[in-house]
Amino acid sequence: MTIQRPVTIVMIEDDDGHARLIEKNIRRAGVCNDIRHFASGTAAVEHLFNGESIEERPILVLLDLNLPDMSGTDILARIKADPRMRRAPVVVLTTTDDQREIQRCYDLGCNVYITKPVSYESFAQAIRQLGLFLSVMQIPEAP
Amino acid sequence: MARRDDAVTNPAPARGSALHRALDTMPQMVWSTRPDGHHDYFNRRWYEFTGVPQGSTDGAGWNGIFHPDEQDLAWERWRHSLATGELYEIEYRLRRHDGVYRWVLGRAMPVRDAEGRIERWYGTCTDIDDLKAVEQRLNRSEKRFRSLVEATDAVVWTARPDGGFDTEQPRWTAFTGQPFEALKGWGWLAAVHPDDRSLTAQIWSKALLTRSLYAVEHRLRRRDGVYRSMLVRATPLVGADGEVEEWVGIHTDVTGLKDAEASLRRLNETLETKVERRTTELVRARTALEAANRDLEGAVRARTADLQQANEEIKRFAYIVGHDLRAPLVNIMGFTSELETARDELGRFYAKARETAPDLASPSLDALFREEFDEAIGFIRSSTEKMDRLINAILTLSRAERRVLTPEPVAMAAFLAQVKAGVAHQAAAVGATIDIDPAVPDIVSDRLALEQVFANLVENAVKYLSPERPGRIRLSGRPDGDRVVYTVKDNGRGIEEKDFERVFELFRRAGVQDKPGEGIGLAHVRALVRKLGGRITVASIHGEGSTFTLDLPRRIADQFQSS
Repeated sequence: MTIQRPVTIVMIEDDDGHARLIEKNIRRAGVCNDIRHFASGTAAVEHLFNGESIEERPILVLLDLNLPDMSGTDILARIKADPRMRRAPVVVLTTTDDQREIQRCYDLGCNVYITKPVSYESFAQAIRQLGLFLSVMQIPEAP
Repeated sequence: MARRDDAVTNPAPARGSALHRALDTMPQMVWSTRPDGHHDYFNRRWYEFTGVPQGSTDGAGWNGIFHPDEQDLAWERWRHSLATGELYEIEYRLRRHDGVYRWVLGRAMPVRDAEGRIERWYGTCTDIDDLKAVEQRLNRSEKRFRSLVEATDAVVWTARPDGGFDTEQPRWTAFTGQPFEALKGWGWLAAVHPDDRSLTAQIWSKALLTRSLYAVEHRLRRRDGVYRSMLVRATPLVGADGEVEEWVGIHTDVTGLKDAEASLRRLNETLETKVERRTTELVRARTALEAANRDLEGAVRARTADLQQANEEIKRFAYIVGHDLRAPLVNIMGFTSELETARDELGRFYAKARETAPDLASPSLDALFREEFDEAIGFIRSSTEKMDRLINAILTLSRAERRVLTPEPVAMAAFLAQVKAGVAHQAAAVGATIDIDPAVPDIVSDRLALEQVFANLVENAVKYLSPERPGRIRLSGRPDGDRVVYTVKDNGRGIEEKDFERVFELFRRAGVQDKPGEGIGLAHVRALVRKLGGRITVASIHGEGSTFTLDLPRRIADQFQSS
């Protein structure tokens, strides 16, 4: 299966290093989609809810939970509470591997939860799986 | 004036005459004399009483049987009456036939003729000895009564049946200073305190009317003007006719008693006041203490809240640090890998360059690609991995603290068998045996926490056995009231006493560092045990073995309710 329409990857990640590593590994996995990086929750929320309309282009959100200006779970909750946005897949990619945190994210409607492993091989592996995931995932049409 | 012929004209009662017989039958002693006082007749009763011979007392012979003390007085009186013609009357003692002197009353009166001349004297003697005895007893009795009255300072008085004083009241006058003129009739009432007069008069009148005991207390003015409290009692003397003859009363000064009573009352009141004051003080002290206690409780609560807050902050801190330290590590590792990739690219490029342009190569570049990149990257890797383990350890502890405990009954023998199974592989590898006391007591606690605690302890025991002897590990326990005590005992290498506390500290290890580990196991165990409401201690002899002792509440629910 292939992605039928170009999906924009919205990456919300305050750590530029992480953002770069994620992007590199996504590209290595053969994913060529457009990646929009936001280094703060505020900027991401501004783009998601007031920027270009989701109708124009489907999105996938890569979300870090530990943001300096707001909690990633709040962004997740807002996305999943928005009728236009709630079908957009959200991949939580964070350092936290706390079971309760993971549970909470899934409860809020997170589609995939990936822990950033310190071991780079594991990290790259995870991102490659994400790439695979992206390639097989059916991104729903916006209503 | 006595004349010789008088005897003829006025003879003594002739023997056998009617007068003689009459006089002889009288129970009284009767005698008669001539006008000159010569006794010439005594009746039969006289002779019976005195026992003297007939005629022996004629003339002046009678005087001889009078008591010697009264002979002269009687003679004198008799001569006086003879001289004056006045009534002769005397009490004297007369000797009876048995020699006993008895009191008699002697009386004599003259009989005169038409011209008033004394014809004869007729006299009588009446035995009054019994009366006299009664009188004497009365006198003695009265004397006693008086001395009693004197001794008691009492005011004794007598009053008429109508309540007035009609005779001198010496005692009353002596006490009050009221002369008879003032006190007579109801004048005595003026000496009574004005405030007490009405009541006194009322009670006195009632007693007079009912003829019953008069009892009252009033203040009576003493002659010095001071009012004294008097206890008054009076009783009626009733005559043979049933009428009240007089009242005899007594006033007793009870001022001293009253004062004593009053001071006793005052003392009591003072005592009551003191007790009251003391009680008030105690109540105040207690109130202050209660307030202080409340303040203390408040202070303790505030302090506890502070501590809880601090504890929460520490937990949050550990959690945040865990994550924030990890994020840079991801970059270090990630970009190290990127460098490695770049190095590989460069390495391949250098190898190709070496072939095509060997003059570009150098030994130092060779070493760079052969060793130095690997060495640098290797150190970065191992250090980063170690830091990752440390951070993971902090996260593990932090999570253990944050986890909510779920108490459930745990059958310990079966539970420990599972723990044993968990390390069976490692134990078999070093040839160690693990024994479980079948009588180990059960517990209600958090199973997961217990698993981590015992797994850590048993793993440690297996890990730090002595190479000099086969390892033996024993798990046992005993109940201790509402607590249970478990022990994990090994015969391993042991711990030096100076390290008993250190082994429980985070990232600290003791003894020879020949085993892998981060120094978090026992720190984790201690944190878990504390969370379960227990304590863990170690006892060990270096080189012989260690015993870890866990003291846990038998029911963890109780622990939760109390915290």
